[in-house]
Amino acid sequence: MSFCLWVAGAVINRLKELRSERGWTQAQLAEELDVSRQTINAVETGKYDPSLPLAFRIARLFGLPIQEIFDDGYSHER
Amino acid sequence: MMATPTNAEPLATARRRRREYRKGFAVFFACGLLATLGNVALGDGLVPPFLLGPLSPSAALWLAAGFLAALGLVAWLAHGLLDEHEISAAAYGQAAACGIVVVGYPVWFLLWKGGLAHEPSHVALYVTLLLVSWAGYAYRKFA
Repeated sequence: MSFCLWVAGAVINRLKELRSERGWTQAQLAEELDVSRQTINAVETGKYDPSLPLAFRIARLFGLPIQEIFDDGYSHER
Repeated sequence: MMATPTNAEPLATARRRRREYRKGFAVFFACGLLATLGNVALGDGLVPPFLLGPLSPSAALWLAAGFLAALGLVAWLAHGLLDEHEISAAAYGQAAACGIVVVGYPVWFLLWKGGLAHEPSHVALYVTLLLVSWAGYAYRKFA
């Protein structure tokens, strides 16, 4: 698992990495999650933090716990 | 075709919804464009030609009821078609527009009272509110 950059107060995610591993486009992922492609782009670039229901859908789709996709940085402090 | 744990029905539903969203957006955009062009050609550029003169009370009531009904229909459609990021962007735009009016109107009013500006115009305020709302939405969604 690689969270490359963390800034205090920011939530970072591995959505782009996970999507690329599977060879999916943003449009395909958007279709799977029933959101627009712009929403996927905004989440991937950190401009928008998804709601809990969407975060759970993302976690279910990739078969991972939420904390392995999204990180608010606290796991690095200990 | 991507491997997915979801079944085919939600995918088909999502595709259909996005198609409807695009069609709805195109229809609303075309209506807005036609109304704007009509106002520019026949009215004063902002107000539709039939609103340039006074209205009878019954016509005013019917028009207000029609406007509210159309707005309710659009809001109901939007609720079913927009995703959470779009709703968040729309709320951001509306909050920005509200802030502009809450701050801008008193300033304009004071400048008018001091003889430094024209009297505040409700049409200008309404148009400003709409433009800032759209700009805020576009910024949050696309920037």
